[in-house]
Amino acid sequence: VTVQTDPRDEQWTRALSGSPDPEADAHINREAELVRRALEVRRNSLDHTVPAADESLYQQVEARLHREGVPRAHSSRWKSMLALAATAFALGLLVARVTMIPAAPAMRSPTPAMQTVVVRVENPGQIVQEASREAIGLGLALSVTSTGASYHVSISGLVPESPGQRPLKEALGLSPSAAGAILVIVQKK
Amino acid sequence: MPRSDTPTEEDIVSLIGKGDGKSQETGVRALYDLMAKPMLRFFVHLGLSPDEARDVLQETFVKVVRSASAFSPGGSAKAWLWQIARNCLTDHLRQTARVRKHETVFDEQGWQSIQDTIPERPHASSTSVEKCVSEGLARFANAMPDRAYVITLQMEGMSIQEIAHQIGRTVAATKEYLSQCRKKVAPFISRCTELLAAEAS
Repeated sequence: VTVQTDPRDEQWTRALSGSPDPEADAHINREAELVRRALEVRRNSLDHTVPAADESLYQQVEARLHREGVPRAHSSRWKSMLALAATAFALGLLVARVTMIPAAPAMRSPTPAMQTVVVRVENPGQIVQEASREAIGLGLALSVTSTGASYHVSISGLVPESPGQRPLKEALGLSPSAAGAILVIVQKK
Repeated sequence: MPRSDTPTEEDIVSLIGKGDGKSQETGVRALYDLMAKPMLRFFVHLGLSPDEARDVLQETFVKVVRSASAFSPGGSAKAWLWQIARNCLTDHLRQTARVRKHETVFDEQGWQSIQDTIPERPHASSTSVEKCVSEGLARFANAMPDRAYVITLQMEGMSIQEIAHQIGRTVAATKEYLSQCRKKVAPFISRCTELLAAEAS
């Protein structure tokens, strides 16, 4: 099918691209130039709001893929396991130091505003690892301390009924309505 | 034959489609490096907030990874990737009730009702031609964000082939689409045309 195009449309489009046809109607070129300037202003304004395609967003994409059941590479698993092992080691040292201080229980207690939930599961380490991964993907603040027998997971920024946070809450045994800052004590069943 | 260091879209989709962990991770990383930025820009220009754009990008990646193994090597991987991005955008717009159930982004019929909207007359404060066109274009972009985006790409000098990939049309149909833009913009800047004529006289 051959489509008949208006040559003035072609001239307008050329002028819009910044290459006006000198033979074209001056009115068409002027109009296209004005539209071009207005488009540039709009484009610049919108481009300022485009999120950066940075490492943080990439991590979120990876976390989303994992959450959706898309398998991750072995190297990533290794990285996650190494990161968890390093965290556990550092926290182990911290806990060892804290337990030597008489006031340690009080120091480890949650702040009055923080709810505390105790979860008993077969594999606490795995639960904590999953929760850490989810929290990183969601950009939430999460800290983990290990007492040897259990893990203390402090998490803040929870929003009630948030669909995005559901997998995290499920991993930690929290209800969908959980909100704000919560300390979850994950113990072996 | 010399080979570019940058993997093509076909290479990337093939890597992701292999299904083993390492290939998939390499493919996802390469896809992110190549397509995340233009896709985020596409979503924002089509009316999504930055948060929504991030979310739809993630959804796009999930769909790409899930269906990469079914991609036919004979087809254009770039067109296929953009098709998934457009579908995810349309789904999101439907979920947020910004596009009716039967409509599709860049579907001519789907946008017809919007295009039939009679543009408002420019505000009385539009004293200069430049301001008049600027205000008219803002209304045009609000009513037809897809067309505003396409003429922005045209203005930036993107090739017709590349634009065709993004909007899911053939090259010929994309040329036709672009040539219609002047007529689509015209009602929104009709009063400016009068000012323009007065300026010239």
